[in-house]
Amino acid sequence: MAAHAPFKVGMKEIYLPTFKLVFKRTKHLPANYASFIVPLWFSKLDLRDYLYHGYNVRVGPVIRSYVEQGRIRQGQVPEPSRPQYKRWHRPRGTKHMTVELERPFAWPERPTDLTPWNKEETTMASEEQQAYGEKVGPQADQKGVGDDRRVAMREQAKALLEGKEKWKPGLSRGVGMAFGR
Amino acid sequence: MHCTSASLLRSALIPSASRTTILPAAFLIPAFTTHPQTAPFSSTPIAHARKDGNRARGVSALRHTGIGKKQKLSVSVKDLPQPVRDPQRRSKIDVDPDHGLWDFLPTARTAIRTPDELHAHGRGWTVPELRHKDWDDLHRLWWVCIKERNRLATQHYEHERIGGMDGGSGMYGEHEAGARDQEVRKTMKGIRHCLTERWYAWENARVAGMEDGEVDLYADLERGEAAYLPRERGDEPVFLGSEDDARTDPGEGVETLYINLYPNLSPSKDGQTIEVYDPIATSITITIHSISSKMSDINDTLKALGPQTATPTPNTAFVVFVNDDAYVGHMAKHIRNRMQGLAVIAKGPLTEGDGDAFQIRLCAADRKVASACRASLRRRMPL
Repeated sequence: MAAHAPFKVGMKEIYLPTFKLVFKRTKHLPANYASFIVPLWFSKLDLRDYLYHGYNVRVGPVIRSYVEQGRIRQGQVPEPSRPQYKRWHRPRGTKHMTVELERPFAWPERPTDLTPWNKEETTMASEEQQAYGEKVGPQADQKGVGDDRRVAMREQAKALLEGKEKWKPGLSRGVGMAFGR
Repeated sequence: MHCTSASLLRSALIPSASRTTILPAAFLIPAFTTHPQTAPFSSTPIAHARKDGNRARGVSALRHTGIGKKQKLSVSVKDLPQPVRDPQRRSKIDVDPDHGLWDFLPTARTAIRTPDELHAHGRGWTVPELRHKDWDDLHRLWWVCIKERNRLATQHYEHERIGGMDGGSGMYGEHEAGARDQEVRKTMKGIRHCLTERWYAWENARVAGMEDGEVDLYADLERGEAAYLPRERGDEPVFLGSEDDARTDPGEGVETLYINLYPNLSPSKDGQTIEVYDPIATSITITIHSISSKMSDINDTLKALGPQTATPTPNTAFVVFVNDDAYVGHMAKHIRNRMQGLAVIAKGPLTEGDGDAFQIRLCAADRKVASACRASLRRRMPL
């Protein structure tokens, strides 16, 4: 690390900080720009100082920042097991800062094969969970028939209309009683 | 309707037949036929429009207006460089291998860690392990923890971007990252704990030093000033007892010790001296002076002793035999008031007999002597 900072360093020394910084991947920005999520009380001078002394990263003269307001939502934090309604609140906003780097930095490519993270299985599980929830949940009567069943019925109807299949009555043993819905 | 417009409309809409056209007089006809030269002019100064020097007026990059008619750029439009739309065709950026921002990403320099990589960690530092470390090491360890937490926060954000937010379940890895973060937080908590302990020890020592008369905290050691200046300790008795002595030994030196004497000591033998010798302490002599239980006899005995009772040697005991328990306490007090030193009141049969045992009750005014006497008497059980 260089002995002398390229900017005027402040008087206050913080030895044991407790906050976190997030380094975002910004594909829309050039390689000599980097964006971070910083604590809400952070200033541009703080970020410049932090990056220099903590990571030996020199930044350009201009740092841009914006605060992203939180979206109004329901529920509690941390979320309880049952979904909660009517506790409307706006969570705390996040502060983002974009710096211009003296030396460019490009993020490594995202992994294409997500098998180590079991993405396939979890996606399948969540889709099934969602379908089941639609079938038995409070909105079940509105959804009625599942998507795959609907598509199958459409194909059946198409086949019947075109004459490829002939209609046959269903099972003769009082199945009509079950058709209530 | 407004009154003025109403009146106007009325006059226009309702043709008044009563109005007759009035012809001008004949002498006025030349005013209408001959047209003189007229030159319309206005004395009001005309406001000339200033030339707009702004060539870029109406041109906006945000509104996509394009280049203005009068705008001249340093580069002509056909010479403008075109961005490479296809990411595959873009040039690769050489990132410095020692760039500081690599510390935000996994050690393997991938985008995110796999659950196996996240799980490969040990436990956090415990407080007894951290107590051995000095400030510099603890400070460095703190920053290692901070950087790891930043790494994990970056991982979490990227994880969500990649696809970890599919209605809750998403991809694996969040649980392992949370466990890893917890261990890091434990280490940081331990570091803070150690530093707090050290600070309190330092603060207590500082306060003790300030309050202590023998310690000079402002001494300049380099100049040779002494920080510890012990005071001269003369003949102060060293009290080696604890503060609890007063609690466990209440009262003023009433030590009771019941000793069985062998029948070789007979009460009828007045003036008999028993030597109770303690090898460490000075010898304790028990002299039997009275065998009566009457106060008058005891008083006579004490008077007879005279100067001996006035300033007796500290290790002299006067044995007074009583045959009544009720008197014992009273006797002890009486004798103690009259004499200094030990007063032994022996309880037992006053008649001589073989196999009689006597009990000696020691009432000591001085606790030190009493304990010494007790110790020595105990050692010499068969007297």
